[in-house]
Amino acid sequence: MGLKISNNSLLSRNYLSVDSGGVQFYDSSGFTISSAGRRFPFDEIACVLMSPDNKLSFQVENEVFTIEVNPEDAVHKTVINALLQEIRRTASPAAA
Amino acid sequence: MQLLCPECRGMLVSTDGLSATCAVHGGKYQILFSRHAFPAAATSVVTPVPTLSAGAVCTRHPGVTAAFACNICAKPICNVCDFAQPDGGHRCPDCAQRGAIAAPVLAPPVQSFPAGVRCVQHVNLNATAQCKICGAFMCSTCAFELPGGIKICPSCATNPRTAISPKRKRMLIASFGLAGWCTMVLAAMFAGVFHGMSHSKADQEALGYLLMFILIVPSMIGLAMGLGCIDRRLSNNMTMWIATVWNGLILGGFILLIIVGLLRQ
Repeated sequence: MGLKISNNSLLSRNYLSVDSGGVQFYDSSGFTISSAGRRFPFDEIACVLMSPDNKLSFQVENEVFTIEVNPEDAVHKTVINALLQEIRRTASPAAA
Repeated sequence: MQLLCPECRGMLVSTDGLSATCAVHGGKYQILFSRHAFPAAATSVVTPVPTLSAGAVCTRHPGVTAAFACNICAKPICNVCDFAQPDGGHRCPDCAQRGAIAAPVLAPPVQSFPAGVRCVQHVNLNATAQCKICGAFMCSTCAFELPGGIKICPSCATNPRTAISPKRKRMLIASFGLAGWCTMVLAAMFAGVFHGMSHSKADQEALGYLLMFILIVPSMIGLAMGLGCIDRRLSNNMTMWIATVWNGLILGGFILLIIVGLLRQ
């Protein structure tokens, strides 16, 4: 089952999707595509941060990906919880 | 691995493992997860207290003499702009706002049910959850928990519904109906049914308006309804695409005819 945070507008498309295989991140603004359809397994995510202005960021290797979230949105909360749950499962000794 | 600030790609440091601070611009972030240990912060993540040059004026109030310099960005600030820190330091309004407390940890909402609500499968047990899909109440045994705290009932878990909702079905039928109507009007137009109506220029103009209302507007509405049926988050069947494309072709075709007609004049 896929879970998704979408921040799309007329000229840009930005989403974060979590499924059983990993995380998919897409970011395009206007005519540029900065991180089109990048996909990462959970065990490659080094850290997940939340900024005071509700931007969720995660780091893979030396790259950082950011998406704006709405803490009041139930879907966003579900996606974030699912993401953290899956990452923690890969980080546990049993999964190693 | 060095952990990077999302804004400036500077180094992140942390003293408690719960929040991280950027060593470059001082931004604070809440750590939701970290696979690696953060480097410990230095005794102070900011440079030693900057000195204020003589005669410096406040950045926001140019007519007021600055009383302090911001510990983070070294901007001169007056007493009004100063945000005094517990450690005796001073911050300008911008740095103080950036250093605001991070957003609280997002937790799934706790569900509570009216007293006496029972599980649909086990009527002698109280319900502890509600199916996210069909809304059925279920006990802890029946609840299937998916990643993210989503709970669904055994029926939805084993036999997921693929049928479209009544609202989408109505929109789909209306879209097909409008497409069929527009196709009949187009067929009548090509068959010359309207040919006898346009004797004069005024008649032609009136016919143009008539066709607009009985062809363009319904096809636009049909196209909008067809697009409204399609929902990326739900299952979409081929008929929805057929209705949308059918209306789109009619509308596009008629607009093309108008353009060709205008060019030929």
